[in-house]
Amino acid sequence: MGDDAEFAVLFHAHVARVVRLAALLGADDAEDVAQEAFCRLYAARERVDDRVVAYLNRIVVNEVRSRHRRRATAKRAPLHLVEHPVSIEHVQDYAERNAVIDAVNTLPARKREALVLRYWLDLPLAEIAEAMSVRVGTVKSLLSRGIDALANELGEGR
Amino acid sequence: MSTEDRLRDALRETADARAVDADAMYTATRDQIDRPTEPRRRRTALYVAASAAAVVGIAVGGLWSADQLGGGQGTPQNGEQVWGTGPVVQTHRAKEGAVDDTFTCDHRIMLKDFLDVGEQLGGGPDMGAGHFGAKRYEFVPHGDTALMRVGKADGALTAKIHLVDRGDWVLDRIERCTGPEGSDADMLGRFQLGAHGRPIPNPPRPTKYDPETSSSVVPIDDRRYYNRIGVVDHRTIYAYESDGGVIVSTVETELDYREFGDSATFGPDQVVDGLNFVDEYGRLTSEGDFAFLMYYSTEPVELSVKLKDGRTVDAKEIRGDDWDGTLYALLAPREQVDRIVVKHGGETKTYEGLRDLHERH
Repeated sequence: MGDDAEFAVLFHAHVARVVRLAALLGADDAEDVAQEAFCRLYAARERVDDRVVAYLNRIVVNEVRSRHRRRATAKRAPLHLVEHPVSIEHVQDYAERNAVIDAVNTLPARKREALVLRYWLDLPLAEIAEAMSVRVGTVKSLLSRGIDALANELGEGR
Repeated sequence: MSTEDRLRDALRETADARAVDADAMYTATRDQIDRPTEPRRRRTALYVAASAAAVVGIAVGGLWSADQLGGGQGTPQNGEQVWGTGPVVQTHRAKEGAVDDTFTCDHRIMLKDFLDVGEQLGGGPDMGAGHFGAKRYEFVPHGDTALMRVGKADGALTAKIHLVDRGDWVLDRIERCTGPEGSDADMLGRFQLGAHGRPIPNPPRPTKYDPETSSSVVPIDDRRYYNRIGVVDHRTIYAYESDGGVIVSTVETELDYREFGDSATFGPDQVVDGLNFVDEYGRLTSEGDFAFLMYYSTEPVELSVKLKDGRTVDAKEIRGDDWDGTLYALLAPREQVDRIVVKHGGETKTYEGLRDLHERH
């Protein structure tokens, strides 16, 4: 990644995904997290090269964690579920989504991170491990236990 | 619908519902970038504020001389060595308690080729330390440098990690506890597969993210080692058969729970040099590493290594009662491997060292 024009292209290519990732991880200031991530990407642009996506993922995960710690609270920020009006025919879908997201909100942060990176971004285990700064074995455990916990919250027998 | 599918749908729909004004955000981000001192101040503030643990002290600012650590290996140090210029802002300590100032371990090593340890620590002082099994840490920033001391539950110092601020906290060097001669592994029986000083623990159950087992899980090796931040850990290696081949996988007890981690998966009738033995970045000595050679077959095989000093290392046979095949495995000092010999079905195949093996596979 070199000049400012290239940075602008990268920004527009990835910003929506970065904001949404931060929101799904529980940031109540997802745009601010994204802005911080891109500032750090810009500062590190000479050494990031072609690993922009992996770098951004890791920064977002770390930044959301840091902000949670700073708030010094065990409560996880609720996701911003819907920002558009919900039509009546979508009420049933909304209720289903709401139930699942409410259940995600109850999970410990690391399980939630693993589930979001796996089931929203579809990242392979190694890339999840990199984004979360943990080992692949840890990711497997977090995914396995996270899905079990989610199923339990949703009242599903597994 | 499965839990996984419900989750996938809910995450996708929630994400899609989130509108993003990319142009406005770009303008705001450029404004922030163009304020040259802002990022560092912001991040310093982050670290000051980030610790949910106690702020334990404020030291006097000033000029620190370069310490004596650079370049040497295992140089004993007294007290907290600090380098770089700038005020000590605040010291952050994990809530579990303080870390000793000085090492008590007999052997130490200074490393600069620590690979991803710096990445692990970049997210914050408590993140990397906990990940590698440290129970305590103290993080002391000094302007654009920082010293992080990490230790065990009893406060014994296991590593001093020197970081420099280059946008992220980037690792400069690490001094940590190690075994004799800079080895990360115990020296006793280091080339013998099996138990080393304790019964091998029962294997964990493979999760759905591991290859499905079609056989019993058989232990291969268990031993102590010093991990990347000088904490003593155990690494256990197991094998089991799966569809058309064998899985060799590791378990590390530093993790909160026991699950299979790094693994090698391979089919029959090939020589494999595919799994870092002690730790992903572990060392046998400061000069070399383990060669962990394996061969899986449903027929009788002889696998051996000739060392440069003329000795021969024969593979150990590993199999479960319900296995279809046998895993042949051996350990050798990587730098000493001269020739790899496989005898199978009346034929002998020879590789002239590990490089030849890798080039032919």
